[in-house]
Amino acid sequence: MTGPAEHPSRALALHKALRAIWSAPPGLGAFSAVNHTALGRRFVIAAMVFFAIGGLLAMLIRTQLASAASPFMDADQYAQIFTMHGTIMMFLFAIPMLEGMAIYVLPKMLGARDMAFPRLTAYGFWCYVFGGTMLIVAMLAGLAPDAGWFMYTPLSSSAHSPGINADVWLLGVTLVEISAMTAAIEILVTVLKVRAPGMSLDRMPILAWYMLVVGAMMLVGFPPLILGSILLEVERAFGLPFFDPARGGDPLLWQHLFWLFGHPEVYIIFLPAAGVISTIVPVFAGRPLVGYRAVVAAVIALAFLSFGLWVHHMYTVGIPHLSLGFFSAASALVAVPTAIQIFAWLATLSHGRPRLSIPMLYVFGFFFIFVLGGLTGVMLAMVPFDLQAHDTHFVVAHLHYVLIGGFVFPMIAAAYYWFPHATGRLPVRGLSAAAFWLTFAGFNLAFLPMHLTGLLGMPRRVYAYPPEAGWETLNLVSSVGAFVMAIGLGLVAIDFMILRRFGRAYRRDPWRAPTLEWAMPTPAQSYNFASLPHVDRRADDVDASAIGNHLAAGRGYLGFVRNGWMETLGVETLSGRIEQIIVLPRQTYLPLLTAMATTAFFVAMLAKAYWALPLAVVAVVVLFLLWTRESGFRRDMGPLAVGHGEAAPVHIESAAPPSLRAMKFTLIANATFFGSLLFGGLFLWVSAPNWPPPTVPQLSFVFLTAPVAVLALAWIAGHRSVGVAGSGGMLWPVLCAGAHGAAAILFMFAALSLGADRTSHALSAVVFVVLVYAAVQSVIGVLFGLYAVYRIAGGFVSATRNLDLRIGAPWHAYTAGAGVAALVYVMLLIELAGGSP
Amino acid sequence: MIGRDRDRYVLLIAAGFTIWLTGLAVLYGVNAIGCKLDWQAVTILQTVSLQRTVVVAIFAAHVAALVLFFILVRKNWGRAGAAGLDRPERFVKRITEIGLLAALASTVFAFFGVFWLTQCAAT
Repeated sequence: MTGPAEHPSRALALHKALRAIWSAPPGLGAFSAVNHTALGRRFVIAAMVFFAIGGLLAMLIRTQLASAASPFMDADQYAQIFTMHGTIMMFLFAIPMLEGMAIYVLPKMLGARDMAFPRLTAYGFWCYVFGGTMLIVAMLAGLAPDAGWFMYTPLSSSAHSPGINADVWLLGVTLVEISAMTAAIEILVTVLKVRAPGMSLDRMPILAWYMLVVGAMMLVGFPPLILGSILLEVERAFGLPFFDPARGGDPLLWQHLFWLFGHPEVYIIFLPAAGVISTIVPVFAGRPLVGYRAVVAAVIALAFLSFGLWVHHMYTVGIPHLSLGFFSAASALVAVPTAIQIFAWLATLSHGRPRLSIPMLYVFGFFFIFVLGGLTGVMLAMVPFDLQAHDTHFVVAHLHYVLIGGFVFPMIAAAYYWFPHATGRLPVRGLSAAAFWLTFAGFNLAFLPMHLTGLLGMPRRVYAYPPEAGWETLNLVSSVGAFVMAIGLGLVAIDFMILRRFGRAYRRDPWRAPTLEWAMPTPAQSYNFASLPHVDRRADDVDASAIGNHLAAGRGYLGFVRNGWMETLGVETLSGRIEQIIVLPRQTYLPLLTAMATTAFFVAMLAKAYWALPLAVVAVVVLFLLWTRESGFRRDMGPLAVGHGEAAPVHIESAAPPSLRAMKFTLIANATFFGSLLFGGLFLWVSAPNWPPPTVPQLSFVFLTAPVAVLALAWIAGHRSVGVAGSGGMLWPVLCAGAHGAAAILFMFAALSLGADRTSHALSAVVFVVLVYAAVQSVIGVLFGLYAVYRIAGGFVSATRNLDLRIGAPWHAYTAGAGVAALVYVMLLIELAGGSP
Repeated sequence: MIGRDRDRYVLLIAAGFTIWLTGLAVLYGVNAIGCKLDWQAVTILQTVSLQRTVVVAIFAAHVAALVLFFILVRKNWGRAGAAGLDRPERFVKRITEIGLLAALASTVFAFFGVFWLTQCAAT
């Protein structure tokens, strides 16, 4: 164990020792990287590549619309182009960009050495790249999705989209969403557990609060869309009629599931950008953020409100007046917490001594554009106005004002702000300022007239319009503006390339920023800090330069190398007290291989090679199990020194290890998925035509009662396994796995013997899917049970080292609860439909 | 196992708007179910429909829940006194209180239409 380095040469030795452990090998070894700095950069670069592709498609759209009845594209090509533009910008650019930013910067700001689950970061990255590639390859092959980025049924159903275009969207986007789910769990656990000692909740940097809220939003925002995508793919591939009104389905179910995700998505995109603004403005105003507590409360309120207004995308579908009132009022309400943040930023600027720099140019651009977008948002929240403007170019203008103003401008500000951190080079004003003004002017030239185009009645998604409509001049202006903006963004890209090579060199903390990411050598080292800081004040009010020297000398926590471990500290969420030493996994190709196997599953679905699906599933499971080879110890470690006379247990021996928290978050996402499914069935009963069905499914008494008994046994056995950990006994884990296995078999038998064709009506289809869901939970329960047996046999479990068993216990409990809920729900739905179970 | 978990306090910061969101979901769902089952045709006290009564009751229950929760938070944490709470706890308490009050205002603003808006007619 190398000790704290009091002498420069010893400090250098410490840096070398840390770098040897934390850095990925050169060459092809880069594919084994799990480090957050490397992966954060890769996320950002990949997102920028997709942004460039999406931007190119936008230019094609504007070329087409520049004149009436343009021969540039036909309707089919145009449909693919505008669908891919929206899909790329939302799923392949915006979400991954914010993930990349968070992955790169969060651990550094929190005073940690990495995210909580580095391999999960890598797995998410590869799923994102493979999913995105799937969509782009399909587009190049002329098979791109063409039903709009929100894929409304029945247009996207097999009757109206018979090719694989819609499948490409459903499968590609779902593959990409895996990365969003992994990022959500990563971000949540990292912010809650992986911080510097002393960094209590009230001392967290404001960006951490934003990302904590965004992580929670992603956790419950994405499952409804994943469910919708699965249901639509199952309908298209196997004929189960969830969205087909002729068979008891309803296209509106898709809209609900999509917008349950889609509207929070806007805030999932906006809030990280707002977090960037809340980080940058105080730096350049030279004073702390005004109203830290009010901003935290506003962000939490905004997150919840954003989940309560998804129906404002559906005002015109025939919603009762009372419900319209709820959603209209909620839509207007979001202006309040948004305004609180805007006033906090303005107050910070007015109370400080602002410095105008390149990042601040984009911050001012954000203010101007986003506030205008917010105002038109309040207009669209009002039902009477929306009924007039719905599906016109006014909405296109509004959403671009919100998304480009509220996300792209802050992200460019973030890029200029953290560019020195990533590269060691400072921006130079000349080209950077010119690029900003071109982008800003081009944007407003493109989208301000579009409000008028929309108010004059031009609908969205049309590839041509009659010359006599009077829209041609405005469209031409918009197209010119779009090209000016594209030139501006091109200059931004060129600027970054030039700065990378010729930017000004600097010493530490060039912006005089008071956050911990600047208390490290730049460009950032793979291990971030040679030793970890102790935080005794708000973590966005620290003297980064002074702390940096102290930490580089190894005088903080964990200022040594032990057993070749990659160590960082875990803290109590509320108080920030040291709780555990988190031993992170080393570099490995397993995330890449697992993502390849996962992609194989989706490609097999796309190719309708259903025989290959079980092979892909087995490959994924086996590869995930291989991840566990590296984790765990065969002996109790007890408390280990962390420096400054303090000691802490390794995470496996801690009461609240990150992985246990991650499991609970996984179950919340899982429960959201299940809840959305239950909502879907009830929604169809309430709203869909052709109910009740001619034939109602039946469930025998055995299938209604037996699963309850075996699920109860699985739950008890899972719980008892933890209680007897260390005794070496395998009875309870074996019983647990066996009970789950029996439950899975019973659920599958029940699903396959409903007595009604599951393709004939939505009721049978919903009942079938609910039972299959319960079976799948139990199959995963079997895996957890067998995993416990494997770990006990391998000597990884003791009374103290019982995490391998504790991690399964919540799953067993959830599966039991969800299984019983599934049975009750199925009985209820059959009863409501006029049958008797 | 070594360590302790005081972290469930953190969940309280989401309490106010969780109640608000629950109110929205329940009101939206129950109103739709009421329309399906024609609760409007069932009158209570000869003038008010069952449909109206149910949504007003749900609205009142959520307002009451928020008020009660706020009182409980003030009372329980207040008993400890400012000196009895450490700094992070005081922070969580304050955010919880702000959240509850904001959610109460949001509940009244967003759901007040339960008293007069038509319930099943659509535009």
